[in-house]
Amino acid sequence: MIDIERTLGDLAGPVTLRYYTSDVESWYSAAERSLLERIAGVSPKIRLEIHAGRWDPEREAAVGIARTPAIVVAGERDTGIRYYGLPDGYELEIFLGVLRAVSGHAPALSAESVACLRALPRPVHLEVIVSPT
Amino acid sequence: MALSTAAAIVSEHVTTDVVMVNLFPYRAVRYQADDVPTTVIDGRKGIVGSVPEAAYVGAIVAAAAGDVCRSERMR
Repeated sequence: MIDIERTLGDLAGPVTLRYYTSDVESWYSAAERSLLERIAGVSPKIRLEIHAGRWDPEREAAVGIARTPAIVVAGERDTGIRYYGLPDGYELEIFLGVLRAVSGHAPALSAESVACLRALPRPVHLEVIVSPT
Repeated sequence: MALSTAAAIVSEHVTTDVVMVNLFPYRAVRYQADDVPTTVIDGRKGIVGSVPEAAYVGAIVAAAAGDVCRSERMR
């Protein structure tokens, strides 16, 4: 069992979660919303914004999401990280780690990797297909 | 934490979508992702499974340099 309170108890800085979902609630969206509200409740440094509505191509393009439900993860800047679906199971542990890193706790990458990634000559988009088990 | 999201956090050049296959199975079908995690780089299947950090970052760097095929060799 993942201890959310302990994992997020020492966030270094602000984290904003923007949750885009349908205005018609389903079991799935209710579970996702409940999880995000629980996460946001453990630290005053986490701000949760819930945007429940119909698909709006202009807004979604501006926000940079491709489908809903989507979670935009931002810290001091928009990290470009989007979660599509409920990060449950092992993925929840990883998601909490992302929130810690976004808050300012540096991710465990080597200095060489960080230098290479910051020196990329053009933008690169990753889509990671995972299973919440 | 996952290398894909760590890359986005440290570099403004990287954006990362994490897609739950149970909710969006068509994304796995589109990229013939039979295993998880599968990382798609700029719309092309790049990394299957968990690989060492150097190989993962190397695949991203290779893709940015226009050599996406290199990531397949690094698997």
